[in-house]
Amino acid sequence: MNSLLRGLVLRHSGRWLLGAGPWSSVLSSRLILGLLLQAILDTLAGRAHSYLGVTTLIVLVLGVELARVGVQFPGIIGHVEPQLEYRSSTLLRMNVLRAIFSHPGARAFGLSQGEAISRLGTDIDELGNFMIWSPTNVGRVLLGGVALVIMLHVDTVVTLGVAVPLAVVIALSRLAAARVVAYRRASRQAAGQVSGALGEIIGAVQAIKVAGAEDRVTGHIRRLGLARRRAAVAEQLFTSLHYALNSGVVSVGTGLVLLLAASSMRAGRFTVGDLALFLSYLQMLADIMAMLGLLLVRMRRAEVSMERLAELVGEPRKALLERPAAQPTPVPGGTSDRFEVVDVRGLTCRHGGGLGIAGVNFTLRRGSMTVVTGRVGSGKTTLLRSLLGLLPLETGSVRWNGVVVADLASFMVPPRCAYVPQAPRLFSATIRENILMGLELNGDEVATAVQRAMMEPDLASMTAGVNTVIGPRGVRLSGGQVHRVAAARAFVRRPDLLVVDDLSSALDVDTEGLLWDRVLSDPGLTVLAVSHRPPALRRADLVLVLAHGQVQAQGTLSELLRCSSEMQELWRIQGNRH
Amino acid sequence: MQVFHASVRDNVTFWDPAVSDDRLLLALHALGLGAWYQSLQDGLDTVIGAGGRGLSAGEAQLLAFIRVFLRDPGLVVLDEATSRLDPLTERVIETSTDRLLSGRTAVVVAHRLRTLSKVDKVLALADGRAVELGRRTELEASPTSELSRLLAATEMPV
Repeated sequence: MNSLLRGLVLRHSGRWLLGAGPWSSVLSSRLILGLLLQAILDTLAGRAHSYLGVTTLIVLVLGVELARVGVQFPGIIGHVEPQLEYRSSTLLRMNVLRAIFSHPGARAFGLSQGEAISRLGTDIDELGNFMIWSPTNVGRVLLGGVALVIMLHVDTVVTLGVAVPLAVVIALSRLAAARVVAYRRASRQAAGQVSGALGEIIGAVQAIKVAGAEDRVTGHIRRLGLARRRAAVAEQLFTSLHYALNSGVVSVGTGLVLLLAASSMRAGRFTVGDLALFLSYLQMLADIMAMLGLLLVRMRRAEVSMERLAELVGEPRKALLERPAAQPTPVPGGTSDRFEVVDVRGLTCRHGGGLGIAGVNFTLRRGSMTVVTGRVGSGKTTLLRSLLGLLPLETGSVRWNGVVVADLASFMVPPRCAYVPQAPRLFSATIRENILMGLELNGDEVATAVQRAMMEPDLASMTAGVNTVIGPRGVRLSGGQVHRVAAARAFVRRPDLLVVDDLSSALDVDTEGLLWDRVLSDPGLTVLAVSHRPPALRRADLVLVLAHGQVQAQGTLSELLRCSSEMQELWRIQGNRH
Repeated sequence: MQVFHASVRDNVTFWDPAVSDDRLLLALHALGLGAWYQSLQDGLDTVIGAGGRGLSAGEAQLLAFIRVFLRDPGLVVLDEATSRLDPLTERVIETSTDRLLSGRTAVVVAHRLRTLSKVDKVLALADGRAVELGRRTELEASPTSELSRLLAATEMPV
């Protein structure tokens, strides 16, 4: 068992033992029944004298059975197992989600969403199953040992016949272990690719239809589905073969034991009662031996699932097993400290492909508007994301009112800072719910945010207004409307610093200037925006011209138009039309 | 614009093996994406989208153009296709757009007025109704037209 899986069992050791304990008592009832059966038959055959009469023994059989049913159903199946299964899988889900949220936001996933969901679903289910399946079977194996001791006590030679199939089963499982892991990985990976592709395709229905690519996409899914089928069939075939081999070995072993028992009986060392005891234990042992093989298989599978979850969590992997904190960590600092100034020094963040920003410096003062402009790929979005802690910084510092911010991701959040991204994500809910996202505010505050975001005309055309349901991820809205909802979402949080990535592109010329006027009517609000359009650039107190990830020039628009060739070039093309 | 967690090739061909790499590279270069293509670590096999190489919104839009380019359709509908590009990239696209639209019928949905400079006719919509339809040159010449009003409202330096 690898360390992560062991950790999961240890984390729930109390309940795990509680699961194994009663199961042992349930199974030990079978040991007792065997002994009772032996005593009854031997008494009837006159081979032994029981202190208790046959009737008493039969009543005892009934009592043992009733006790077993009483413990098994209400106790184990009703309480211990569900608790063990759901507590362990909930712990895993919470820890995986917490780890995802603690990664830099723009790089939370190294996987497609479908793949991540498949791991959160199927892999955790597999582990939850393992948690209830393992104590039962460990209990069984222990009782198998006890049964063997009792049998040895009755007849050594016959019992040794049982050891042969047991050894073969264990050897077979050892041989199979590596292949079990390989088949499991392959089948889970193939399944993850199907769910990942399906998720993306459902999100891209429009692009596919427009491109007339339905057949090609269906073909792609079919190929992935075939690969999944092949992997699943291979895994299932291997598991079934393994199980069948085990069962075969066990059956041959049972035959062997019976032959040995027959010769012992002829010699008179073996009574009818002994035979009854052996037959009842042999059945139990056969089950246990077959299960032992399966237990090892499932342990390997559970290890694969733990590994797959650990990949989602990243470092440290132990975070997967952390006990949940009683309270969510509060946002550090307070809002009593009035925002005055943000100082950005030497901000550096490069992507793998060499894009990004390097050594960016600027200062944002309370009530000012700063616009970042530049060509595509010049690093505008990267600049905003790294300031907000959505991308990891290589070097550089951000000072908020003169104090260095240690963890940007947890600090640059409402009510200090709100962000309108370039491609906002909406949820399949109402406009109001999308704006509030769990905030509890009154209707006036929503109305103000809606008005500032220039959404009133949009809402007027919808019968349900802010309570309109916008469809999956907002598909019923136009691109501009999605942007305006995202802007209202930021405004309603009343941030000190508003960070906007290219909001203007979703607005027509009439509306854009008006939006900036409304936003800037709040004298305490500080704005940092990416834009290349005149309404924003004209209103900016400071314009930063980015080129190849560096600030090439900064100043007001009129200053830059005099002395920055890059700004002149950007502006000339913008202005020379019409 | 939707990007799949797949290679650049599969993203633009939608997993069509019949599209040759030569044809793809021609389209890439025609769209002025040569430099971008050089920056891809594994060329056309570079995995983009969720978990792969990130794309800027501008790059994603350029990718959408390649998709259209490869389809070689008779009718092209452009819906604010240049709305997220900076002026310089837009100029690159414009050249390619000209090539794409020549000999084809195009319907362009635009809220950016300079996209209009190439069109023959303009249909103005307000509250879901057509309020004006006519030849662009005539509407521009008429001071009372909706188009003239919109043009006048544009904040453009001389």
